Amino acid sequence: MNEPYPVTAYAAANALGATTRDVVARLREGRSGVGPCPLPVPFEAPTGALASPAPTLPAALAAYDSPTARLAVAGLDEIRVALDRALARRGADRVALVVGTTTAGLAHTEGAHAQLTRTGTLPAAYDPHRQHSFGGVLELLRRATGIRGPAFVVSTACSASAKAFASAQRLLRAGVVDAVLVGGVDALCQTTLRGFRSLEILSAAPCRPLSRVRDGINIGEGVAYLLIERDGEGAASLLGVGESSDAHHMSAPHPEGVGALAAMRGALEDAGVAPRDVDHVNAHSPGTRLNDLSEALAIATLLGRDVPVVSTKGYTGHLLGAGGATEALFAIVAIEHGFIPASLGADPVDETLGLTIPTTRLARACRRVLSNSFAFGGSNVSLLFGAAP
Amino acid sequence: MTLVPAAVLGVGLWRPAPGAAAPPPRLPPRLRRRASLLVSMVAEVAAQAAEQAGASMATLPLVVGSAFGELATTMDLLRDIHGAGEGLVSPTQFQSSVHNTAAGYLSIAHGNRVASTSLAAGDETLGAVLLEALTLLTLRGGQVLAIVADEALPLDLVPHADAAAMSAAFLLAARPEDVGRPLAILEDLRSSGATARAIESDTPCASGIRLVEAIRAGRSRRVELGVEGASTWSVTVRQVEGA
Repeated sequence: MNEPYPVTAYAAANALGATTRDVVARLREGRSGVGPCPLPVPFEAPTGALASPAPTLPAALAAYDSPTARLAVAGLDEIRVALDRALARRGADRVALVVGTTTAGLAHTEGAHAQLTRTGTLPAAYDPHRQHSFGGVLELLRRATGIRGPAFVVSTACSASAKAFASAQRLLRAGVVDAVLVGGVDALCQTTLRGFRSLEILSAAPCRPLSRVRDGINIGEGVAYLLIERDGEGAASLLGVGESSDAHHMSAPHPEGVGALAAMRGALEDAGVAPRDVDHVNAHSPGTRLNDLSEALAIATLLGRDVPVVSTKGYTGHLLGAGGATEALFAIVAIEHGFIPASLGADPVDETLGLTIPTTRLARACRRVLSNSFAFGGSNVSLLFGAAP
Repeated sequence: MTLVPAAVLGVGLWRPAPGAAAPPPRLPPRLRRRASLLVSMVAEVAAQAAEQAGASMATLPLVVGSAFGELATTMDLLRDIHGAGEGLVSPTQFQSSVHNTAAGYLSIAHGNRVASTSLAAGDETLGAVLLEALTLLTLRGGQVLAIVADEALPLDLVPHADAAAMSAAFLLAARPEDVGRPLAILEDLRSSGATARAIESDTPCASGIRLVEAIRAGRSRRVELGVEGASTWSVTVRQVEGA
């Protein structure tokens, strides 16, 4: 069994709310944040957008401006006290930053490219290094946090910020650092909305993951941060991580769920936890039939059919690079607050999946929760969180 | 840090040359047709390094770093969105625009179900790749294939870019003492923690070329893993007696 690492602080903002308290309250109430798409697109696409856009960046950081950058900095507010405490206690070079994002500044680049197409010139202030690249988001966050340890972006499409936990756990386990700020952030943009539309998996209605009437996904935007430390006080700890590759297809999961199964099994083995001790699964389940079939097969094979399985994509939409960290936070909330959220939109449940899918909130003491994230390229990761001993 | 030294068992290097704008084909035809330059470069240097080491691409963990990722494909998507049509994009190009496209293609091409990491860190991308690779070797032993690659920046977005495509790969193994004749040992990977000028370069991964050259040169030396003179990450390349 490997050492658990306590999650000493967490924060999230997404369509459910601009503060962690609002996000958790609406999760508990079973209320969706999915609504009309704020971006102009030539098709129906309900999205999980923030109710009001994140504030502009402070002047000292304005050179890094993009919608993702604004979300990334806004999300730091609630975690700053705990982060500053960790930086002071550990030393700034003993704290790492691992951030999952898929778009970085792409939403900003879309605007610059539109102007280029229209007028033949880019906006004068457009800076691809600071406003488009992954490194720009990274440098912005280092400046905004004071973290001076290793810092990198993990970008594996929809599993990005869950994969960030895998890298973070390794940095702690190998003794490279004593604390890691894990983040996930992605803003809405045209490219992702139109891309998923072209793949014919974007729903024209609020998404219905795990339901027999599901017809696709909604895209969302958001940010989440979790501070993981070698030791400290936290309601839950990262117990184990499992990763795998499907080696099957760029955008479709392996039909028998071999990659999903390997990732979940890996997380349990990493933690030394038996399948019967898993109390709840936050499924990847974005709202497509192919994912639900393969993920359900993997869950049933490893954990049986009685463990409550929930998709929270019905609350937030699919948060892409922010999804893994946000759903890790939901797993911790289940442990800390003693409830399993309703699988929003799942009613009427797809009975052929053969899973236990709660369509109303369950009051339940959860000690071990798995959170799955699967992605384009067959990049799978499963995170196991557990209650503090 | 507490990372183990790594034996370099193979290296790969590819960049465009007169008469060779694209690397030789390394992927099966069904994947090759859709492969960007970035994917083709990663496949080429991965194959070079694995062949030199006699390692199987079916079982190697991959760590793939690229500062800018699938830029050419992203530019095609933007042109589709803002072009004369209805603003819809190619589904194949969209699913191939993610940062882990190259890792996904290699996994599919070789039936490799081992986990991979795809990352980015501006001018420090090579440092981050080696950190992730050495961390994996420290915790799990075995071998890791570490790769960096970037396409040239598109002049649409970076009109004065001084950039050329490049790619480099390093087949690394734990426990150098058990390896017969490594090309060199990588050890003492360090970061100064400085943040100045971390994302200024138009060729963020060019230090990968310098690292390959240092490994091949047969002399022990310290190599900066970012922009020369402004790098935060560095590593020692130690030549092996008798190698």
